[in-house]
Amino acid sequence: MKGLMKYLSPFAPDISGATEVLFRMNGLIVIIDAGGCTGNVCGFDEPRWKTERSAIFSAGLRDLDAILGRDEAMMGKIGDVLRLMGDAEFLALVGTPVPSVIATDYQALKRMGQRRFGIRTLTIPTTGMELYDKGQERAYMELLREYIRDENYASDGLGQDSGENEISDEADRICAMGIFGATPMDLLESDTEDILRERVLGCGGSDVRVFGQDVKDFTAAPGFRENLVISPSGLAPARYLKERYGVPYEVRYPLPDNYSGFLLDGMKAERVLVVHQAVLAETIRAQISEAYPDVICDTATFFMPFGESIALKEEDDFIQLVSDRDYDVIVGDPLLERAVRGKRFVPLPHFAVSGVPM
Amino acid sequence: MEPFYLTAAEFARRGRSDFPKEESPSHALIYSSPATLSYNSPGANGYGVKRAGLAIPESVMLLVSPGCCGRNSTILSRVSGYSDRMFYLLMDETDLVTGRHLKKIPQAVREIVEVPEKKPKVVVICITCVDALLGTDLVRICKKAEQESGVHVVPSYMYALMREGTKPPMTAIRQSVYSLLEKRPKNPHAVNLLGQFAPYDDDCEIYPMFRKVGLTKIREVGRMKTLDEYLEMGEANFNLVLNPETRYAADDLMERLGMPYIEMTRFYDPDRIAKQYALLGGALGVKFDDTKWHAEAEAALSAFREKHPEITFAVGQTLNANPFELSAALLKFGYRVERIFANASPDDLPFITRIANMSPETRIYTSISPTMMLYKCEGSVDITLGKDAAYYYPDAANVPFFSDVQPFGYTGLMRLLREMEEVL
Repeated sequence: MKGLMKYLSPFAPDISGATEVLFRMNGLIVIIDAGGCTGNVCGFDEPRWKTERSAIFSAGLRDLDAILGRDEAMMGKIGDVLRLMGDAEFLALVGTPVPSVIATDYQALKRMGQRRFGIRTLTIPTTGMELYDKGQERAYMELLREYIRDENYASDGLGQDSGENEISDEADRICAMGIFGATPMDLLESDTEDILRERVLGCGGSDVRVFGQDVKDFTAAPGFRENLVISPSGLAPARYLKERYGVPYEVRYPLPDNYSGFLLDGMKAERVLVVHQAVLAETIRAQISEAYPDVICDTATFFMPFGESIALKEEDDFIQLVSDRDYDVIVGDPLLERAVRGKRFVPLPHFAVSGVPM
Repeated sequence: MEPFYLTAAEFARRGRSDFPKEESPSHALIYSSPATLSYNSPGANGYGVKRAGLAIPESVMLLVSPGCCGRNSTILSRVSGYSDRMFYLLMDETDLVTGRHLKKIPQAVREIVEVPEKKPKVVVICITCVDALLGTDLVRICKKAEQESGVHVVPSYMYALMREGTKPPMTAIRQSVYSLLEKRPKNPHAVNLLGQFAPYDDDCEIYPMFRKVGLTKIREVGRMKTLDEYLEMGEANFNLVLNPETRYAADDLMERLGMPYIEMTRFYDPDRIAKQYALLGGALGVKFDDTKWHAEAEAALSAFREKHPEITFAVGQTLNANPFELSAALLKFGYRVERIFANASPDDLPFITRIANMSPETRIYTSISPTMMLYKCEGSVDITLGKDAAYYYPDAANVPFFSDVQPFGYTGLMRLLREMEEVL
């Protein structure tokens, strides 16, 4: 049945993905919920929350707030917190199912935030019904639209650039590589943003910036030499920067050396299925195909598809795929094993699936 | 700028008429820190709505909601061993507009009861904020699902939007948990302990004391292994309400089954515990002999005080106690309570007044206040009580005192003393 999960449980939602992108940039992040969504985002989907401070707040909506649409009251509370923070870089309003039901006017909220507080106001209309990568994508795009306003790339002042700003002289580009899609949700369990940056630097990179660490990177993004997309949520912003500003991009996950050997570790297999975020899964597939030419390797994902990855919409799709193609080995998050018991399973934890290492 | 706090003296002086607005969650945005996780997500530590709903024996749960509402269950159900009892029917945006997800529930129930090796006897359907706003009539849907599936189908509501209303989620779920009880012939020897989803400590004095006065059938939902055992709770002569959040469920049982109830409070001050048992005995027309346990608790307390004459505490609210009552008890024992991190309600004022009389400078902080993002750890305490208090004093010894199995009465105090002894 569509939407029914009998063996698996819900994956990280768009709210978590958006919040994760915004987490480290000294903004005031307000999740427009009653409290539960904020609890889920912080307590279960954001591993950095336990050790790092970030100004994440729940709007604390109650039934009458939702029914009467008391946006004014919420903005008043936001003003109090902005005054407390003093130096907030931006105000981010992150949606949940409640504003979806009451059809919250995010544009109006954006204008209210900008006019009343004179602060960049990002609105991320997440619904809690889409998955984390969609929320990340929305957050990246909103950040780019809001922060690429420098006169060098003359925009129309409303965060909508004209599209005629491609840098003509390549020498004007700063020798920086940007990385999109590198959040704890997308990374290998053993990786962090810093480890990833170091690995890219070790491969001959120069100045490597992981988007989501500093808002200045979004302002400077049109002048970057290139971007690296390590998960599908980074595809839309990378395409945007290429189309508008001519910044080229590459899509791959910089894996540790011989990662496929580490995964399969002498295992005899003819058909392998890798299930993860699609860029990582496709990069692993490429490595497996190179290291083990006789192995047929497919990839599949419950999240945004990329390359040849098979899109899984429902739990049933996954069960059917595994049954139809009779894989010897499935590489994926251990939680997925519940749906296909009896298959040889190689754990490749995906934080957006199981949340914490099993 | 400093985070908002009031000293106990200021708090007591302001009283009910000038109760600080900062204590009301609707006054400001709600700050999210590890210390407030239990506020935003009660299920993160202990029992939230979903886990509580599964207290009905031989039940499974179908959560009908946007995916985000079930996300924490991914981790919690695995940690708590509920993976095989949780199912999800995820909504999309079309469902919000058309309500078509509701039509799928009966079929979903039919499908999920076939999944576990042993067929469940009860399916608890849980809906969330979006259905609160859509005005969903879940009772009608449950009846239909029950007819089609042949198992009990119980409605439950995780309406976070209504947490400051008359029927907040943790109150509503308690009503759901007892909703299957049916009227049975009264057994004068039977009593139900209502309030928690796990049992009280096995050595709690309530059990032997009650048996001695003829209350031999003492039942709690947390000890019921089968649905049949659970249904026997319907024969109770009365209910003993040990958690105020159960009052609504007790009222419902009184109305439906004619089952009266008496309420008791969890205290850590032995004198108050003794007084409460005397009052309960008076109400029931019996005399509880608590001499043995009272003496044991006093002896344990004396020994502890002798060994640790000076301790400074910080008390949080994620623990098996009312933080204000516990703080007042600790002060009475001769200890120092430096700070309390808890949201006070006007009902806490009697305890706060007692604290003010003994320690007027004790600071009471509100963890969910936005100003708490400015909190800097300063000074030191010897022990933090409560999981959340550890966040504010990471270097101090911590006693979480937050287990599923519940402490109560004299044995509750003795357990607290034992757990403190272990960290000192």
